[in-house]
Amino acid sequence: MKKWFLVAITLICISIISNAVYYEAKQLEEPLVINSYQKIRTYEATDTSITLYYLSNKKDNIEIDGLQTSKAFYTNKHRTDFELSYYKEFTHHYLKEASFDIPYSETKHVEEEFKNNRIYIRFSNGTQRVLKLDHLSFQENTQVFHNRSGAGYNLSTVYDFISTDQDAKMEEFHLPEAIQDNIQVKIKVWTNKREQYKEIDEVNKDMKKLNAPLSTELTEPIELNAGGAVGFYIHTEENPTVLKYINIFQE
Amino acid sequence: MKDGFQQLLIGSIFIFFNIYLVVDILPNFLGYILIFNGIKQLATNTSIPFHRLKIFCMLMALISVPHFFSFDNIVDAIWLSYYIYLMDVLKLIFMYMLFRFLLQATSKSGEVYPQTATAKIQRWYMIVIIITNFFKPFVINMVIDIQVKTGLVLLISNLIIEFFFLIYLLKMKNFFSRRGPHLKIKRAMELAR
Repeated sequence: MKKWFLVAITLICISIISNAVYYEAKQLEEPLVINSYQKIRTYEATDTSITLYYLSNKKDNIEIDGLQTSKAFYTNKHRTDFELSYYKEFTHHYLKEASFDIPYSETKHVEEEFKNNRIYIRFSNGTQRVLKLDHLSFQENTQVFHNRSGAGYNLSTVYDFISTDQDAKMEEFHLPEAIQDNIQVKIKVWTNKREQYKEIDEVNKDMKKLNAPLSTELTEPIELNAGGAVGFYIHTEENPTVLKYINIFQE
Repeated sequence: MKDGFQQLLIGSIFIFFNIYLVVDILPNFLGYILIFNGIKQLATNTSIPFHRLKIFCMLMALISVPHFFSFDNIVDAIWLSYYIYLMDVLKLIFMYMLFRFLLQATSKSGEVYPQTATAKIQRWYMIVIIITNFFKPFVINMVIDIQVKTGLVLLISNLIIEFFFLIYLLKMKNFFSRRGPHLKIKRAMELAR
């Protein structure tokens, strides 16, 4: 065989081997559950939902079947055998969503089980693993504010608005230490809804355009008049390994 | 030589088209057997040795047996995941050997057109297939958007050059069917000398 052909075959073999090695190196040994800080509001006589995000290899397609505690099994609402379902697609992995409905009466039990590392994630391939999160707790609904609304854009920016029918004062805003990495919060106050919606349209999805201070820059309590609203713009890193979904609590 | 190229053409059509109705209705291994027959006929007409090519052809027929079955059921096994790459490399080596044989065979015919046509298709086929085989493994590690586009470009390039190879075989078969009697007389005269 001529020399040029041998060189070509060698290069092709190197390409195959190196890409195969790289591909295998990127495969996860088991699905990776994304860490999160969850403080979930509960409402009497209704189920509460826990949501987890996890990465699984594209070629394996392993899903979370459910959460197992010592007393109950909570099925993943997004589990399906019929078609491939994922939240986002990456080169080698799928980011998937798992949600579990916890009855109001069982939230304390789940919280207790979590503290004692007795909640297990059961996967579709028969394996199971202890659920490890930064925080998981449930809080009774004691909100003073009304007319809450919020939304998220492509996993990176979330906003939450709280409006009030009466005068109120926000003394302090703080982020728990466990989630301070890669999180920025801008706080904006509006006196009425018209002003609020106008600015939302202008800012649209760009956190940088919002003319509002960062939560770390606030030095004084925020005063709200009746009919006004305060908006929290929460920006996270668009990276699945540090994905964090946040909910605002009034204490 | 017409019959030889005809067998090569039919065999190549079997390999080019993969139509699965439970199994491949144009089995690749049968295609390689037909190609083997075509090579044998050409070698007999031109007295060119083809021992190595013969063995490689049979090897290709054997290795392409799994291709007879639909890939969806068997590709999950880890070692079969890379079967496609192995087949591509072996096929490239086989085509290189086949082109060298065809160049010798067409030069023995004494006609200019088959020689230039064979040299031309060999050059382009080797260039395109080497490039696509080199870049194909990168596709599995590419970002999604680029993956689809690159995969499509590589696939279409492959299909086009394989199609041109079929056209070449058809032209050679037609050429030698028209020139056949003249070549037989020419060969007889050479043998008589």
